Amino acid sequence: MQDTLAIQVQDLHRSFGQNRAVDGVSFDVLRGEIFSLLGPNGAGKTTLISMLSCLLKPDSGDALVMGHSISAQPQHVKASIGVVPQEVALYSDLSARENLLFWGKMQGLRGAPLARRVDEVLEVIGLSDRQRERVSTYSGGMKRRVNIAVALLHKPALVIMDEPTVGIDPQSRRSILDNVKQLRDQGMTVLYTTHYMEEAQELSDHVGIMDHGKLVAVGTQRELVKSVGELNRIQLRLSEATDSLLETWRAIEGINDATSDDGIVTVLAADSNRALPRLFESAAGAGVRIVSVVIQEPNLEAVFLRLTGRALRD
Amino acid sequence: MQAFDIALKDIRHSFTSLFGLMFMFAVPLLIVGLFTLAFGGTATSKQQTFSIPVTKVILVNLDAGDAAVDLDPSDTDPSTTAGDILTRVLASDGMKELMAVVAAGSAESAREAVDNRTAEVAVIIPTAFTKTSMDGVPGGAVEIYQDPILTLGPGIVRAVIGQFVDEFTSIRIMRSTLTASLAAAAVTVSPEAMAQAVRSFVDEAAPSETASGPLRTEAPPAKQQKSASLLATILAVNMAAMMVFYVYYTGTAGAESILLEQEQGTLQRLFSTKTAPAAVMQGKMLAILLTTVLQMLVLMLVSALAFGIRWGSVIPVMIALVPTALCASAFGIFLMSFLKTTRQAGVVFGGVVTATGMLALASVFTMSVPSAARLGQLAALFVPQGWSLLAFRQAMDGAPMGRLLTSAAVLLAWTTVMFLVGRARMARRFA
Repeated sequence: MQDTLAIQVQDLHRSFGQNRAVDGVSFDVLRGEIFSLLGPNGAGKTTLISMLSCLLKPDSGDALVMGHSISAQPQHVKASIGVVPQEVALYSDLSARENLLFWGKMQGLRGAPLARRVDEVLEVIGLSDRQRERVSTYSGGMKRRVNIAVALLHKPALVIMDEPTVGIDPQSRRSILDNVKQLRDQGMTVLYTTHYMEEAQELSDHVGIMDHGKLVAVGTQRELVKSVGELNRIQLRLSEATDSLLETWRAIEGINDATSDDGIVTVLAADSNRALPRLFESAAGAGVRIVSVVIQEPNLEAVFLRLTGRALRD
Repeated sequence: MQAFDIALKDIRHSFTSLFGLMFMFAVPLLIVGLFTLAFGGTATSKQQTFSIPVTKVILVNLDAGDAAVDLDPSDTDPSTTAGDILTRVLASDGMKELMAVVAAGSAESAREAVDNRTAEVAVIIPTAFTKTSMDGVPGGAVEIYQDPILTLGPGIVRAVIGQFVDEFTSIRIMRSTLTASLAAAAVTVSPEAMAQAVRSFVDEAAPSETASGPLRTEAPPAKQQKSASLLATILAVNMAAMMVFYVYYTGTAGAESILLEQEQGTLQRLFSTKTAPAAVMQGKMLAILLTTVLQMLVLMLVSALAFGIRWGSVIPVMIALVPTALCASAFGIFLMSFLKTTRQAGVVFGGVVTATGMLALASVFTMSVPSAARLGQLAALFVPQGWSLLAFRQAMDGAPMGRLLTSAAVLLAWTTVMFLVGRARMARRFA
């Protein structure tokens, strides 16, 4: 089992004064997958990955990263991971190439292998043509890409990314998300923290939802949605919304609720495919025409809302 | 190896920062430069070995001599006069650095040359010069006719001629005294024997016309030069003070880079690599140390070339320099270990580093005030900068090695205490 796990987190605790930043978190990350930690700002994600990166010591508990204890073998852990910090951590007075050469040396690379590897990662992040320009002259997105490249120099088995797309333009964000998927395709494990539900949905094989220092749920998206019993949301625009029609719909098997607001009727159903024909049939029977239909499948946002009682963006 | 990479990166940063370069090199040199301008001149060797302009002398020798006396035994001409000898002395090689002598045909033409300013001094040797010199006959005084504006050149000419005349006066006195003594003793001396005695005296006592003339202008040896020049001493002490003052700034600024990297997130990133945390801190400290050493070497070299400052022999200077670099680095680490942000560092620069630096400079500010000098020196020893300055002054003054080593030992003690405290606090913070 251990050979298939990249990370095993075992009851980690870390407090800052009275604030329990990480409060008894446990989970596993499989090798070769993208595992997203989803949660709002202040949920404890950064504290958790700081401990997994051996930058912070846990108050209690432990974690095995690529088989090494973060408490007992921090140097082994550091050698096997690449960390992409939330803020761009580069030397702005150096060029991208100089930065990569320096950080490569910090990871123990030297000489021709280092130069070759720098060329490779510059190619991956698409900055080969501007590699000799000072980082201070780069756009936010370009800096973010160099920030990621630094973590990839020594070909780590595990890449830990702490909200790498915060504050950048959509194009750079798209590029970074594609890069993350490429890393998985190359066999790397990625631990990815974000408070963007869309990113977690797009990237993740498994998702852990954090709030107030606790891991409130872990699983695939399907498992998470299923675990909270979330329903499909069907929004219908009708030629005429009558109370009697809504009563009829509520009585249909498999439909949990039907409400009307400003001409839009919202129907909650366990299975939209089975519910829709019945809705059309009864509407026709009542002489009401359905003008438009929008089906909204349950997502992580809804899961978070259900689990914590508040929206992810709160 | 990683420690060197970190150090090189930091040194590069320091030496490509305009602000850093200004504080490390431009400001201390500028202050001493302004000081030099204010006090007029530099302490270069040219200033130390003053040069006197060559005086243009026009000379007319009218001396008729004295048939009874032959003043130059080496000369086959028995009628050599005192005027001839004086002319040869003034025109000799030994005098060429002081005067350029040109002969004139008459006293009038000589005076006219001075009036026309083609010559600065006219020397007119009268017809009775030998008789006056040898027999005390009046009317044979040498006339010096000079440009009234000039003082130094005519003064030198007057001094040379005065020395010459004194020598002949002493010959005359010797001759008359000898004659009287012999007469009193009823000893009869032939005129030839007396002439021989005079020749011998002239040979021994008369001013030589060879290169070793009656006046010499030479630069004093190095040690005497230094002590002789108050300006040189003031400049040297001020340069040392400025260097020490700003080296401790550099030490603190170098240590501030730890806070800066922490704020930029690069320090945490360094700690997340396989490079050991100890190597990261060693690299930072090595950078501070090498930067301060380079700063001092450059300042010493430039100030030696620009202001003629003599820092002393290599070994004493190194004994002052290395502990100073270590102490400035430890000073920075110590101060920064109490701070959490670079904004706080601004207060430290403005307050602690400046205040301690100024206390060290008290020994310089009070050096020319006898009543306060002792207090100033004592106050300076309460801060490490004061000991650094003391060590450099000892190296400059060629102080005994024991005293210099004592200063170095005190600096190393400061270094040890500050480094240990700073390292412990830093280690706790970044554990």
